[in-house]
Amino acid sequence: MLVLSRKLGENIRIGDEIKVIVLDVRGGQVKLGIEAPNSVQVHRQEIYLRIQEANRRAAAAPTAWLSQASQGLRSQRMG
Amino acid sequence: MKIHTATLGVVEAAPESFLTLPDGLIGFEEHKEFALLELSDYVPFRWLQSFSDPGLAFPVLDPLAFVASYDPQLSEPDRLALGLETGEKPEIYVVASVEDAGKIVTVNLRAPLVIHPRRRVARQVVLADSRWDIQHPILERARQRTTARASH
Repeated sequence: MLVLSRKLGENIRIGDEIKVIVLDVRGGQVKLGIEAPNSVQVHRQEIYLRIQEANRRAAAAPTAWLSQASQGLRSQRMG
Repeated sequence: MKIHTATLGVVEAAPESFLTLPDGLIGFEEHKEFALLELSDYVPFRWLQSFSDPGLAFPVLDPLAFVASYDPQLSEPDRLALGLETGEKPEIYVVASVEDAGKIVTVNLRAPLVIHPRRRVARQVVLADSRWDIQHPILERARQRTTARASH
């Protein structure tokens, strides 16, 4: 892993198009500004991991469960 | 055209159902071409079926049918990446997780699948608003209500 020290207001460049700016450092928390092209998605790591896990679970459900759940949802709508 | 899938068998997919996800789904970035299938056995679910992996399909739902207050605010970069023009409304689905043999269904309201209505390009966006839950229950609650009514 590349390790760099930066002071408040200093930047890091990643490739031509991505810039990370240190906006604030206070009480063990760092506030970062990120400039990136629209095509690059920037996420907090823990949110990214939870969504990845939710997608994995969704894809792993057996079709028989889906068929059962679809009946449950249909009867819920009627009720 | 007919597509061969591992879990759904051979299904008919109209070209209008084809979707391109240039960034894939989160955690599944390598799969970019899908068909959004509506199969009678699974209504109200639809299946986001991968073309590159016959064994990969995600159940999705229309969120407004289950969460009437759902009003996702898309960021400007997400709108631009999809090519949505000002005032243009995308189609929105949410990924559904089914557990406990089909008794429990949760939907991911935090990261909806947003589709450009004409270009058929889609992206799983992550909403800034943390009010929207990654595992929002939609079936478990109904069961509890039904039980409560039955006990009267």
